[in-house]
Amino acid sequence: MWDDFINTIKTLAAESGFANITLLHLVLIILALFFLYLAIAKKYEPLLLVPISFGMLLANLPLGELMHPELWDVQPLDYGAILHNGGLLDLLYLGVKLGIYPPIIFLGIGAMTDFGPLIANPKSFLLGAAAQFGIFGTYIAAMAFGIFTPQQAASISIIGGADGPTAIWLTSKLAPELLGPIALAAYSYMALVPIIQPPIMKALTTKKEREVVMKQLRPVSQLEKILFPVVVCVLVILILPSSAPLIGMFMLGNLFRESGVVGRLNDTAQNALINIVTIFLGLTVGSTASADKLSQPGFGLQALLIIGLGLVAFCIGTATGVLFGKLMYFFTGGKVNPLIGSAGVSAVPMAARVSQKVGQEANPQNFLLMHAMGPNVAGVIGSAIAAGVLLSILG
Amino acid sequence: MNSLVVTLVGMFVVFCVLLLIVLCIVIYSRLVRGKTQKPGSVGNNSAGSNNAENAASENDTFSPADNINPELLAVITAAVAASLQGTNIRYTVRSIKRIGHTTPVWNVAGRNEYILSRL
Repeated sequence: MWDDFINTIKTLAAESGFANITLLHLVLIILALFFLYLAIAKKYEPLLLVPISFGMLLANLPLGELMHPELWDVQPLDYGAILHNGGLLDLLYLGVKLGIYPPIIFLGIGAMTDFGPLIANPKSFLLGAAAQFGIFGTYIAAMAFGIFTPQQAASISIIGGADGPTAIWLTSKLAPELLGPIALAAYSYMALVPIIQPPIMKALTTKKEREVVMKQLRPVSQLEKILFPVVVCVLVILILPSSAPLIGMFMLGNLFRESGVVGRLNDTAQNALINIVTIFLGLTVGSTASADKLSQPGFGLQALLIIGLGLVAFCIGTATGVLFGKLMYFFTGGKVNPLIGSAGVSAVPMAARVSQKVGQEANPQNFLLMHAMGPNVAGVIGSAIAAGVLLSILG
Repeated sequence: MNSLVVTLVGMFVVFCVLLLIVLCIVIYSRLVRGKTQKPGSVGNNSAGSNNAENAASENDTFSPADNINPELLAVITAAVAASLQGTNIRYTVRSIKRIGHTTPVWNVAGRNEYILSRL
């Protein structure tokens, strides 16, 4: 009787997570707890970082059987095996793998976005385009290291788009093995925009340029706002069909908002739906950063390079946006404040807020926020187009 | 494919597509605004948003050089009317001039803090 009791306890102990935990598991659990700290205590993108870091924590608790990386390493994927043997996170991860979650998040973002400042000042689109050089400049840098395939380099470079769903969407298509570190780097840097951008903005502009007060934007009619999503959707998808999932959903969400006749759908898209999908997306993306994955040879170095290159992408995007802003300042005879160019890297609305803040440091009476929102939302469209281009060329 | 070629093609396509969108916006915005400013169209619509557009097009005829938003003119005039409501003063708003900032610095700081906290 006593022996049976002891043996059962021994068996239970041997089958527990404590007996199977490795050093790498411990390191990743500590890293997950660190990200949780950043999200909760420092409020760095908490809506995403909390589910991402908790997913990372769950995936690194041994024998939980929530996620099975081995099921996802098979080529071609055996969806039957995933459905039969997969854990909860494996099933939810299907939404990432099949490219379902990012476009749905874009639907919600579209329902929340006001394109008024962009329609009032269409030249803002050029600033949104210039900031995309962060993506392509980083692609060259990543390729120069020689350890990444072109698909992996493209997935890393899209971090420069400062757009989480776009980064996840493109990476899930081109280099799903790097999804965890890329998503973490993208969202972490987006949260660090107020720290990364101001020194670059100040270094590249003079005080006189930062003090420029821009003319008030004209009012935009509802008809113009309704036409915008339809025109952009048709035009962009006809030119670049590979961007259809992101641009299509983005513009549908915006049409919900601007049409004014589908209030319930608009409310669902920008609240309940986007929140549900954000939970699934964050949890599953975080769970891809598991010890089993990271123990693969060379993965640690790749993850470190991804973090470094992500920062490079953000810096290049900010710099090219500001430099293009300077160009517009020059050609318009000083009517454009170059600081709004940095908002072209997306990261809505954080990057626009940074433009406002830096502008106000130079001239306390200056309100650049609405002017910066133009390049900011143009950057979202620009990075979705850039992702479509990369998918078309390298997919 | 050479990484430089990918970069050049990528930036070229991004710029071209966004330039095309700019072109489309400029064209349809002019068409829409031209239509709403046609004489005779004023007063035909009763919807709230269209009234604002009509007010804007009416005001455009007498304040094109001010650089003041016509809707803002209407709001300022309405504010004057509201503040003088109940008095016997007869008045006509003949001009609205922009003056320099006289807001106390603490008010500006408070307003900025409020705006930033809402972002």
